[in-house]
Amino acid sequence: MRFPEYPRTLDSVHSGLCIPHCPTHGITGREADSPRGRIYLMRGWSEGALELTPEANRHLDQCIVCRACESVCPSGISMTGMMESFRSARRTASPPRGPREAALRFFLRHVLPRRDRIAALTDALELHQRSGARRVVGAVLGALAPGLARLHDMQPTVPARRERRLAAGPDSVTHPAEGTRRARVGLFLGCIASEWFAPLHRATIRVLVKQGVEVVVPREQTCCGALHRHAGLLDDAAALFDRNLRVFREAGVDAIVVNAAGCGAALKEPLPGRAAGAPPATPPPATAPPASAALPAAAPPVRDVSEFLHGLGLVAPMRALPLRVTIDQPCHLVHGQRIGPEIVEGLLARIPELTVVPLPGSERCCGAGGIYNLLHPEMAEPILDEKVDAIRGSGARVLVTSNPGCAMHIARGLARSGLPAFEGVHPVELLNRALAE
Amino acid sequence: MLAAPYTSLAAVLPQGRLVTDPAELRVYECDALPVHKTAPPVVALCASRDEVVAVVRWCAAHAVPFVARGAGTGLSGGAMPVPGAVLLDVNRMRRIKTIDRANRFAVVEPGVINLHLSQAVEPDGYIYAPDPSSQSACTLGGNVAENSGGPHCLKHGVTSDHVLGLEVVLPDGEVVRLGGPHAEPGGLDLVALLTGSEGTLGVVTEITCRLVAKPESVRTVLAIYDSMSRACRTVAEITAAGILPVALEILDRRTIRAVEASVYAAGYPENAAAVLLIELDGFEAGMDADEARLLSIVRAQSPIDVRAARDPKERAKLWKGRKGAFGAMGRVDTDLYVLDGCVPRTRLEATLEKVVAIADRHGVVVSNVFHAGDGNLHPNISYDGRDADATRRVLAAGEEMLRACVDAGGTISGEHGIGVEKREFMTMIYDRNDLALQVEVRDAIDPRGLANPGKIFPARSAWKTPFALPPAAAEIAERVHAAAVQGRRAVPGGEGAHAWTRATGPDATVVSVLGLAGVVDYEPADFTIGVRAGTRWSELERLLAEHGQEIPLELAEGEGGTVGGVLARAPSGPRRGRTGSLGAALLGVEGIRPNGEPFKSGGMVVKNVAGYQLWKLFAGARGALGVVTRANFKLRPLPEHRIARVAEFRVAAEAHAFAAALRDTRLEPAAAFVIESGEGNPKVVVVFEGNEGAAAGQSERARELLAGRDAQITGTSTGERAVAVLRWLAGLSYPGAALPDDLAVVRLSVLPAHLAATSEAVGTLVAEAAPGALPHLVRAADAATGLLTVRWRAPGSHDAWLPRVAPPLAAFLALERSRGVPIQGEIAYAPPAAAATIAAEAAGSSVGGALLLPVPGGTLAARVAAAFAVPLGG
Repeated sequence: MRFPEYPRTLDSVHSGLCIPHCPTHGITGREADSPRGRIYLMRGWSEGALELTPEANRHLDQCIVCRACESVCPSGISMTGMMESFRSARRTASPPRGPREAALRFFLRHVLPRRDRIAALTDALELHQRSGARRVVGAVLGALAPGLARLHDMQPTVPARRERRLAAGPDSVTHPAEGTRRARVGLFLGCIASEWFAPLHRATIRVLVKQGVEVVVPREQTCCGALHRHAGLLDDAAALFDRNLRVFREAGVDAIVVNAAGCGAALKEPLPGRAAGAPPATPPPATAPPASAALPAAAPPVRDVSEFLHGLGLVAPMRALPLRVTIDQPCHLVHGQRIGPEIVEGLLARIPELTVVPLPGSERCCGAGGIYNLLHPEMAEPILDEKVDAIRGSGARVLVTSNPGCAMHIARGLARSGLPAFEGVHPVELLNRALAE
Repeated sequence: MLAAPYTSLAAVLPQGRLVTDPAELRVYECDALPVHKTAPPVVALCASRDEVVAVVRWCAAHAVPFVARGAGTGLSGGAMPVPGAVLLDVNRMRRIKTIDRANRFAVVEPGVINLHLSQAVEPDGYIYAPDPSSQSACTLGGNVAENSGGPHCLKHGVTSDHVLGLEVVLPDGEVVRLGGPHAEPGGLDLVALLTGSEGTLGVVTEITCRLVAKPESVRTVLAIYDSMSRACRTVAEITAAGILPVALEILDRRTIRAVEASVYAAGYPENAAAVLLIELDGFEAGMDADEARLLSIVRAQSPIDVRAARDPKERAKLWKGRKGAFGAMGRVDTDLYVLDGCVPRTRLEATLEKVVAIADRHGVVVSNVFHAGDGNLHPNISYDGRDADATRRVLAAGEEMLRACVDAGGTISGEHGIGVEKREFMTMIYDRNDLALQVEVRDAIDPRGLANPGKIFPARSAWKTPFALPPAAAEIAERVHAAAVQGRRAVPGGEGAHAWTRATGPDATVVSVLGLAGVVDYEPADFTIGVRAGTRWSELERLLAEHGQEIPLELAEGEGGTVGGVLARAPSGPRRGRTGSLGAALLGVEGIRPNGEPFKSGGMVVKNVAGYQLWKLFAGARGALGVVTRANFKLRPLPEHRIARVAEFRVAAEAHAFAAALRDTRLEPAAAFVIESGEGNPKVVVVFEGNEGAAAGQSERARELLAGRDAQITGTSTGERAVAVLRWLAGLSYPGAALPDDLAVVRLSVLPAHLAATSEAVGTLVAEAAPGALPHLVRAADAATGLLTVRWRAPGSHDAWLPRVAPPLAAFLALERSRGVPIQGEIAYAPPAAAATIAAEAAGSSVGGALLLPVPGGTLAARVAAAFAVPLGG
């Protein structure tokens, strides 16, 4: 079965330069757990040279789509596009079944795009956590279903309800700039993040406003669709993608500012096989050129918040933060958006008395991968251990990361390793703290 | 899930370490040469030496072949599975076990990635020098198997020059340790034999790697040309001028464009016909002069532009493009065939023109990116592998291109290996006799052909009839053959291999090579020479000096000898620590096997990985492998300037401490010795060489390092007088031609950091065993290599002295070794009468020498030596 991105598999000259950069190969040492091996499987399947056995599928599903391989591929292969396109085609060829798939699909289709449902579920989760049920359920699951118990253990503690609600009411909210307006941007909230990371959103808004930026938070925006793409649900992803573009276009902003690297990469990257914004109805022919078209002219450009602030230039005065921090580079910032460490370092360098210490392997994946850590804990956990070891060795007390999902995942690993006091923050949260009242 | 005969394999490994799924097995069907494919029946993921042993033993017990695989980045199909063979994957063996900064070595497992070793030692100021373009992905185990090269091999040498020791699981499951972190442990150089053997002699499970000091200063220049021929000519001019850059790389227009379109974009101008990447490294003080000289040569060839990297970041970017070039070619077409031929440097341009013509004739798209300084070409042919006709044309063109390299006096692989790719082409360079010798050596180690069978060697039916020998060599062959028929050993008779080291005896017939003299092949600009074995070493030296070149080996003043004789005992020159052993300079050998059959091994190019490095075994073989008739050497430009300094210390420990401190800096002395003798104070002798700035600057730094120590400089010499100092040092380590009857020389090899303690212990030992010898006791410690030569004279009664010293010395060495200290020793010279007694008691024989401790892998050496004597067809 030829999948749309199949021709790109032919670009691989089998050099193997990607292999050491693949976090999953780092754990198992198996060729099929490397980008080169996975491309080989996808190509072989597409050419009818091999059957995808459950084992082969397991290795293909174990790809985190961290995109580290893309940064070193001399042939310029996009693993994102290839994997999304392949997983979508595989769904068509042999639709997955079973309760796990049903749960995943329900979650992706009926929860993530609906902020009201995310809010309701989060309320329930908070009740579960605050009422003491968490301990009881954990114990019961531990006895009955160890697999579920592990998932249950991984649940992060959600912020209190009053912390979570960003804004009430049905309409978009606009936060006026302080001083002379230098730009007008739209803040992208994300799905789960809109509830769980409301404090980060508030910090982002304040930092932007203090730099003279007017911030619009369009009400109708929705999930970025990255998880749908990882799962090969491209039609769903396309619908979300299009809706977001429409909403922000209508908001009339200069840029869409994103504070989660994973969402930012998904919003910047056109869906495989089509230019951004084009209708997804008909699959493109197999010979289609690699999708590289830019967003339609009317669509505002997508910017990671650090990238945006770097371009804008910080103007508001900052006070000292005597902290030792180390910076992890989320995959979808460094590999996905090609935003190098100098951007975040440059912003933090503006904070007096803040010390940045190097983090070895900061460009390597932490294993979070959206919900990858929930779906593939056997792989995500050892990858996380490597990250935790590196952070412990850095001597820093604060970890800075531009992806809240990674922060949550790494914080759990740090707590487990006996470093609970370690703080995981987004760069804008540090900027927010440093900005004088 | 597993079919017979593999069912019981699962039991020898921990659970989950076998790959048996049919789809997953397919990803292992090729390495980075996807032209040929065979899926393995099973992959064993080994995580330790013991697991490798378990799998290999299982294979031996079930007569199942095996193929070892690292990262699978090889370009000749060396790690391609063989039908029915277990694929033994070492990716999980990636521990760096030891980094010994003081003694400059690291011990690693075979799955460690090349670049990761360099990154691990870099903070300490060291690098692992061989840097294949795939260094960010390839494993050191794979590097050893293929004897990989890389851009920086021009100055530093290939993998073989940087592997000190190996732990190998032989095809029957036996584990042997070869070589070690200390220099010259004695015996045949089996490490060199294993390096480049492409997994056909066993599985390497541990590698002791040499580390080199990170250069103090690096200069990188990019020269841009509107014609390829100008770029090639620049390279020729640079080497002819005697400048030895660390790298000289050329990329052609098509490669430049592919690179610039990739993530490895280096800023090479896309309108250029060729770019030349030049890198110099060394000591800061001499750099400006070298760079100025280099730039004037470069500018004389009218480049469009010359750019110098201003900082490490710019340098890294320039290199990034070169290293990513191979992969970037994926942009040109779906498949890529990377060729690898090597020619003498002066034939580079002409061969390149032929390559382009061949490509045109076959209608294939070729781009060239190559190690110009080494004459190592890499024509890259881009094609669509799904098109059968295109594939056929590509392979035909590839064969012709390699033929062109061979016709130019080159070889069919400079650094990628033969694998399955070039098996059939081996007959281009080796005839029936040459191939038979290699196969017989393999059979001696792997009689059942279980280790990576089907690689390197073509089918016997394709072997070619040898050409007739030149008359002089034919005559020697006849005499060796006649001796063999009579059941006698033929021993080469030249000069320079002392009676002591020569394997003579009542059953030996001496076959003289003195009539076989003269230079056969010498093109100075190639920096190689081929000479007949009977040529006097001194004449060779003189001839090379006339052309401003040298083989970096000093012999003692007055010591003569023939090339064959010097080769047979392969002395370590005083500059060995810096410029390498004689074996490292050897490129090829021709000779007569003990059974009378002629052979050749190696050639006249500086990079050659076609077949086994049998030629390297001849350095120090002491005539045991046959009669050498011709030897080819790699040459170096004579250093412009030399400074030798002598400092005297009151206490030996202080002298050793100073030598250790010197080793800890980035200074690169050509020689550094601590001399302790009965006459006078302990001395440190240091020689620096290079251009005037580098030599003088380093000498000055050494002087500063001396400040505050209880010592004073008692001598400084330059030029010819500095050479005399080197010869004097050589004489301390190796006895000259006129040998007094009462002389004894013992040579120990330890880690440099152990020199002081070992020297003291041995001094005490000799004093106790032979008190009368004490006033004449001289100890010379080579601080760079850890070689310690101890010599003494015992007037009148020497034959009685040496046997008295040897047993306690051997006991001392055995005790040290039992404590885990790497150590070896040999009796380097003894008068004939004493020799007989000692030889009888010697713990091990280094094929003619008398070692004080058994050599690791000693029985393997005997098996290899015996293979040389096997009659053809026998």
